[in-house]
Amino acid sequence: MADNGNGISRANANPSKSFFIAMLTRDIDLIDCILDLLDNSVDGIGEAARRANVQLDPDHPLQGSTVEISFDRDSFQIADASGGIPIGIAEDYAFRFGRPDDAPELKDGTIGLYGIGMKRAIFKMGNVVAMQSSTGTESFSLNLNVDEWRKDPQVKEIDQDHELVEWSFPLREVVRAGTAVPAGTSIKITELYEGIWRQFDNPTFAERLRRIVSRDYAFILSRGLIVNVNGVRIDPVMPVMRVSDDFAPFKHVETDDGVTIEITVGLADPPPEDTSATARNPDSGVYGWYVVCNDRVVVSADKSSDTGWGVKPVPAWHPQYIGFMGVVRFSSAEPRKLPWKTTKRDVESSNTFYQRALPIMMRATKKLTDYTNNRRADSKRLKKIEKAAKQVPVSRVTANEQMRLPITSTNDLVRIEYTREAADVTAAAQALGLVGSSPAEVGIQTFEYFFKREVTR
Amino acid sequence: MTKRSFEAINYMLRPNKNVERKLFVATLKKLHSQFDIPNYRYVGFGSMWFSDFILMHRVFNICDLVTIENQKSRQKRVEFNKPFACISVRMDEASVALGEVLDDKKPSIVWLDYDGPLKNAVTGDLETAVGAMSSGSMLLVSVNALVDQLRGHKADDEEVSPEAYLADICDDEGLLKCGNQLTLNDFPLLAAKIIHDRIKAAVLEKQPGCEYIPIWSYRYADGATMVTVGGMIANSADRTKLEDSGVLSLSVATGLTIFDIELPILTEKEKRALDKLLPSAGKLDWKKLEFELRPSEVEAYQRFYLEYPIFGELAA
Repeated sequence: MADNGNGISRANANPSKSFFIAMLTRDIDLIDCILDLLDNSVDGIGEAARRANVQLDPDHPLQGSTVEISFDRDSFQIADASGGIPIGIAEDYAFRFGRPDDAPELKDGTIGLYGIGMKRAIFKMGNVVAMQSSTGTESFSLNLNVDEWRKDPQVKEIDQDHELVEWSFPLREVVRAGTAVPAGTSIKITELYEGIWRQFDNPTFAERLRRIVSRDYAFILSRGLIVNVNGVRIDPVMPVMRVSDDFAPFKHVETDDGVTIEITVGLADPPPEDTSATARNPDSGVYGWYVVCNDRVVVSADKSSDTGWGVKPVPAWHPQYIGFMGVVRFSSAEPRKLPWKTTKRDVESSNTFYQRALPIMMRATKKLTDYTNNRRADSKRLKKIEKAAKQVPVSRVTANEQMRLPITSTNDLVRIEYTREAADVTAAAQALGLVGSSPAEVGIQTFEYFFKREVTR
Repeated sequence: MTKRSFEAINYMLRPNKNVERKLFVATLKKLHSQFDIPNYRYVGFGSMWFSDFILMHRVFNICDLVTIENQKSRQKRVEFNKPFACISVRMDEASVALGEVLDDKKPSIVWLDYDGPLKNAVTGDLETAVGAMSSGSMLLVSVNALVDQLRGHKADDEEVSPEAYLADICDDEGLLKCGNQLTLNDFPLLAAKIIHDRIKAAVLEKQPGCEYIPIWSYRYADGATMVTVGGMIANSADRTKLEDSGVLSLSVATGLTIFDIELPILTEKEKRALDKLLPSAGKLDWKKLEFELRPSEVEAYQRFYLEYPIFGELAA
């Protein structure tokens, strides 16, 4: 830029489109992008109800709403019949990169808050976007070729020293009243990038997406929303805890500064007998801590120091703790107070409310890890008690300031250890009809086989 | 006593398996027009019999052959029985050996011929193999496809349902809903699909730029029902070569569709009687035979009479 002679100049700090596209899409994986689009659909339902002044059923506010997600090698599509995006919002806010300061205040526990989800998802997946949205009265469509958009700088030179950034997306078929397009939003992305279609074409992808939606959307699905992936409806998988006369999960609820914190900790399943490296414990993926913000699971089955594991006095995660279930829920009408990051896949551990919750979470964790230590000596008896307790969804666990656990007793125990050829142990496991062939399990079963037949009690 | 399979079966005396190997060789011959098969490496589970190794060396003069053997107590027997000097024996678990053997990226044909249940094929061996292979390489997997293998399993002293067991070993909850396919005749199709899907998933995840092209889907039974499925890992250049080779126009290279090999067990005399009528432009008339065979058996024999093996006892 020109020097105006007084020693003061101006350095151009305008953003570049390529940078935005690359940066936005780098830190998020495909499934989280899809969830971001799903978040928008959920928020759309609430927005539409507020605009229409409709009171939603407090227990099932999303009843009757369906989101269809479909994908294959060639395209991705998400469509809902919820509120749609009003023209004014589309023109001024919806396509901005980041929620502008003068945007209308977020209300009533929304889950989309950073204003980048939709753009990020589009940029991540493919080059050609066809979008249509209707509120039932107003509608528009948007057709975007990302590569062409990227190459057009959309910067206007005002004079030699100044340029004006005017990024925009072209809205077409704008109808401001009486549209014939039914209410809802659909986004279709084609010319998928190679890294994306290779995932959509992968036979395991749909199952992975199903698993994640059923878990991370469990609370939202149980409020009545229907999500179909390639035509198959997804059922919620809610964290559960064992409840009986012997078992009561710990539950703590507090509200502070407009944020409700609800912590529930208990045992979902009996801990395993065998915790060796070769043990068959396939489901360890469901146990651990869940962090939930406005009903959206942002961290699931966490076993890291983020949720207190390995932070004294809580021990680091070990397969011995399989069966552990902890859920911490933060709810607020002001979503920016909650401890989530932009990808909604991570907890903001420096968040005030999270820091408040963590020590309580850790105390309850410690209590349960101590129980799994003590129960080892008496695991046969305790396993029966554990199995007899009913699994109750976390949302239906009643408040209990104390965790109730069965009393553990100690017996005299010895440990048997020996080594045999792997092929023989596998053959023995087969003969025993064991699922998997954990050597420790083979050892236990062969001992019991002998004991039952040759040792009288 | 439960015998290990190599103690229980003489691998050479399985006519359907024998024919399967020959059909596989026929497809390789077709591929040979575009791919330098003699300079491939062949990796398999030779056990004590090495039937597939002998074919690969004889027919294509493949001289880089590796057998993987995990039963250390049989090492000397394996070494003793290997028919050619150019076969090297790797005593190790397949999941370890495959990664190391294939790591140099030499184009390879890998046949993971598990004589056991599907469980053996879903422990990560094929994923390890795919991860280490290069474009143009081929992978085949054979497993027992008897539905009974899913029954009678226990976990925590409780019976596990067949679909829960299958979902567990495959680590795929989607299979919990496959109950109606767990029948004698449908499970082999499901097992074949599971393995094709796993190879495809592994290629998409571990081989950027490459895709999986299914070539083989055989079902056969010499006693227990088995399936053999496989295909090629190909970048776009190898994909074009594969298309140009015309291999997929062969009737015995059906891609994802199951091809049944159902040969009757015949006496030598019966075989010779049938051979005298072949080749024949039309279908052989089973009613005109001097002995009883089902129409399907006659038809199957007519299809594969050239490949049908003769087993005989040799005088000492």
